[in-house]
Amino acid sequence: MEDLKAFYWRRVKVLTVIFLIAWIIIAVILPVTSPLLKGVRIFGLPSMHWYMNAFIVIVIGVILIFVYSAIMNKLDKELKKKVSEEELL
Amino acid sequence: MNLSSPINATIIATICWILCSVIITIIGGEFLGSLIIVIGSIFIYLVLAVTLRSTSVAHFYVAGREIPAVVNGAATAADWMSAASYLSMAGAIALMGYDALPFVIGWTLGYTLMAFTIAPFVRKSKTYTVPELLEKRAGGWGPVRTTAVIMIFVMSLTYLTAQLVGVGVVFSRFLGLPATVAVFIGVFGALAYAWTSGWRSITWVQFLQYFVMITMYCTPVFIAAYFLGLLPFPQLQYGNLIQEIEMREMAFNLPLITEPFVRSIGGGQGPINWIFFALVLMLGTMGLPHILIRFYTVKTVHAARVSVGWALTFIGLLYITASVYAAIARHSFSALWGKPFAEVMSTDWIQKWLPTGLIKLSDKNADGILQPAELVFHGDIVVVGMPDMFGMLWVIAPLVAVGGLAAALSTADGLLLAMSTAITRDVYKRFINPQATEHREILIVRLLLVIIGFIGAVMAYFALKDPGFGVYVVLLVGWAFVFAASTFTPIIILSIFWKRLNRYGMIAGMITGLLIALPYIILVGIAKLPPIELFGDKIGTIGWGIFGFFGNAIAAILVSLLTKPEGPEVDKFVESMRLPD
Repeated sequence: MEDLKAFYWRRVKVLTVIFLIAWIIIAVILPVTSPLLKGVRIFGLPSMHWYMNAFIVIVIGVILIFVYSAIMNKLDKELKKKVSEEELL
Repeated sequence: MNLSSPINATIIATICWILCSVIITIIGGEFLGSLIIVIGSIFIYLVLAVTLRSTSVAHFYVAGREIPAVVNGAATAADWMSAASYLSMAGAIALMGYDALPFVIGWTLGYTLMAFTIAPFVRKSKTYTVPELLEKRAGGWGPVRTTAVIMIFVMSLTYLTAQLVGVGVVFSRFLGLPATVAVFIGVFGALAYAWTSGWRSITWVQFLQYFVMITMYCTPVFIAAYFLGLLPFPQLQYGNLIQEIEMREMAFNLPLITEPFVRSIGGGQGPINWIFFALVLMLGTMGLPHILIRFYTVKTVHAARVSVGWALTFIGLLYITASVYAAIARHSFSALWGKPFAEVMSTDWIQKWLPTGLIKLSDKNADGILQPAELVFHGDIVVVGMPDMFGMLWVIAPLVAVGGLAAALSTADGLLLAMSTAITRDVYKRFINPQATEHREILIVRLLLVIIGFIGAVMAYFALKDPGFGVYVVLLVGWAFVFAASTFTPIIILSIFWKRLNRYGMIAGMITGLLIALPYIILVGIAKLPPIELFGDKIGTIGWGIFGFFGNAIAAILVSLLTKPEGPEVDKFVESMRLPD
């Protein structure tokens, strides 16, 4: 049981670090470097250095949350299954 | 048909509202009609709140922990998006262009960080309030709880004042009624929704208010986009509009709207201040009491995680539309540049808004031609004036006002209740009368709603009386973020991820954060001393909050390491937050 708990928390920590890095990329690195994209235009969108902050990072931010919750909910289910298996043994 | 069912009652109230608005408009004309449309919306929320009345403390504190994820997401979005988001943000972008974009990223991306560092763990703590969570984490040490309650007040009271000022602004801008009187109408609405069953009633009212708000916000944009040929998705098609604005700006040798770091934001300037400003808004988001409490109200941990996603989806819809709003408004204004003065003066919407002072025109060089510098506009005109810029049907303007009112009221509600429950549960029940009955607790919550609401309204009244103060609405809200980022955010994250954090570390961290943030706000923000420069960039009062955040974390870690750890009981509590049920 203790092993399972430690395993679960280790997985959560790894996942948290990965998502922290992803968050730093969208919340710090992309916005800070966005002026480099000045003048880059795709289709009818405004210049990318503007659009990055006005649209793109927000959409990525939403996707990240749903991906995190999907992974975590799967992990929770896995843990529940393992716990019930252990109890059966 | 069951009249007391929330859905039926709301539908009937809405039908009454539409009928009354139509009849009054026919009899009394457009102005009276607008008045009924705006005031009637307050009545619909009230009907919904009354059908949800309850006298259970679990309903008051955490909505019975039975709110579905999507509903909680929409309620969080309404709780979150304030009068400043609705009325002023698009205007800030229209005026300051690229340099106002930290508002957009700052007021959204905090949710992403919160989703995997705070939200699910807060739900798992099984506590009722944030101060309670912190006290439990500090091994049941009272002073931590008291400090947390004080911090809640420091953050929420300024923020509440700003919302009530927002209600006043909505009424005066759209209906020409005195803002100072409207403040008291607003506070009545906010406390009435919270009165009936605390978080339970306001969650469902906020859920409704979100959809009202987003619909009313987008309506003028989509109508304007139709005239400009930007349909079906203006958010994906406004590139050429921005380009046209830039061509006009170039023709008059103005800095381009998309040019980075040429204007100041939050009293600072340059790339460092720009990103600090955005980060403080993000980190502050995570520590605001009325947002944190939202993760207590969902059914399960799973729902807590998903509901953050919905919250940001709903919030994002308004935020990605704000820059389109800004572009359309700036396009309308820049179309007037270089035109003969007489022609500009005879434009319908200019004539309508000139007396309000939101637009100022003066032919400074007396050449009879309007130069860009001769047309000054206030940021609020972007949202409130958009219907007139495109000659939309009169009814659009009061509908936009209804949305603005929903934005201000829903946020005011959350703040008011966060403060009232903090005093009741974390001070009264904890220290004064631990044996209080449920009945008694609810009575205290309701009493406090009235008292705090009244204090907020009086503060907003004085804020509106002094016109110099009105300018500070956005800044006032901004400072609440500085306090949140410097006090709660680091402590809550450390509480979950670092077992060694102890009671002394928590107190030391919060006080250090506040001592770093507050003097700077007073000296630079209020006393107007020159800001500190970092690598040549002036750091404004909001951007400075980043030092409060890290100062707090460092102090908390150092003091915790120097003092003795909390016992096994706290370790167990931390573990219970980390593991699923």
